[in-house]
Amino acid sequence: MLTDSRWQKEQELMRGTFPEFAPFMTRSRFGFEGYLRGCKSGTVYRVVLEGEQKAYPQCPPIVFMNPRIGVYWIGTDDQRRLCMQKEWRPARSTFANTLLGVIRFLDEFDPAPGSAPQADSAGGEVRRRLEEAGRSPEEDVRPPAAFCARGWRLW
Amino acid sequence: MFFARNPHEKAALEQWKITIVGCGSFGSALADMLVRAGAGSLTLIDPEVLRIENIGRHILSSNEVGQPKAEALARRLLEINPDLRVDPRPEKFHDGDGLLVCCADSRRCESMVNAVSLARQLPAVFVAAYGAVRAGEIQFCVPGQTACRECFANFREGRDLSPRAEQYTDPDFDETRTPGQSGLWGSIQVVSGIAFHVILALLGIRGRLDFNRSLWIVNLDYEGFQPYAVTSAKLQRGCAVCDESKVAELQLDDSCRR
Repeated sequence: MLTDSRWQKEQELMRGTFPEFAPFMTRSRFGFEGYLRGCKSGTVYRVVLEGEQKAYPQCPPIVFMNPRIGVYWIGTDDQRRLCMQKEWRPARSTFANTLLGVIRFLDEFDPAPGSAPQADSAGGEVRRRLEEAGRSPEEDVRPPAAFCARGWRLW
Repeated sequence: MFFARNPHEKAALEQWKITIVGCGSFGSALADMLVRAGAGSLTLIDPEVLRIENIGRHILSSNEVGQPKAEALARRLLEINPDLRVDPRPEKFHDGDGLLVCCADSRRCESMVNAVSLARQLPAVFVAAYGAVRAGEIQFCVPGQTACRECFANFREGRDLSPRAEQYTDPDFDETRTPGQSGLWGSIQVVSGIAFHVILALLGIRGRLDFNRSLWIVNLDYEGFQPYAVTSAKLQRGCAVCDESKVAELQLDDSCRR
């Protein structure tokens, strides 16, 4: 079960590394949402990392993305999530680690310039939530920042 | 009388509720041992059905193929002791009571059992095998007194065993499906038998445990080591799951892999 201290630490790690990602909390779920731009295609990807309060950190956060790339998705319709095949260690792994994995995924699978990634209606719920909050995906893209300075070629 | 030769063991065991998570090889063998020793109340949790390939490493038989493991095992245990109170749950683990015995072949399920153990202050025993059942592993956890399962997972996964070659060459490779090997059912019963004694000691029925050495390893098939040698290991206690003060030490972990 998510504890206050764990949630505070998760937010601290995200603020320090991915400050453009905003935390959210609902009655049963919580996580972070924001945008990443593919380094090859320039496409803006909406990314949501979502955990279940009663099952975190025992179960890893799930990753939603829109648009989606390739065939690395499990689940149905709006609930299709990235299949990360990543070791999850409840006593060590964090949302920030997970987002780092997503960035690596994009680094590898973001399609070359000129070829549009497969877009679909999934993620519409996230987009609606964002629009309700008065934010637009394009305004909220994470700029090249901390990770570029550390040598990550993501942009 | 059924328990005429072990009345004290029965009297002590039947005071405990025992939840067995995972009714596969280890879970079924341990359930059988516990019921014959006098366990009075068992909850059996497993979402899977019995498959024909399970039979070579399970107490159930081909008559039960296709049935939920938890329910079929419950019926078998009632044949051993009709007075047993048994609650089969053909579902994923969410909660348990009493002593938690985790025999699930899933890290995530182990994490959930560990979390319930910590939250409800319940003792837990984890029984597993690794490296294609080349070694057996038993860890007992007493919240606040021993390392928890995640303390050990932190240690182990930082020093993980080499990946098996089959995972790169066999398109049907599934690490949760243990391949057959000579003497497998015997090896499972050896590990289960030791786990059974750890449970008895943990419940104060027989023997004593050193809480600093809460991990037991049984060598089954690693060359260069004495076959069936058993050793116990000291586990460092305290991780971000069982010790709130360690949460502050969490950091961005560059070792995550896709």
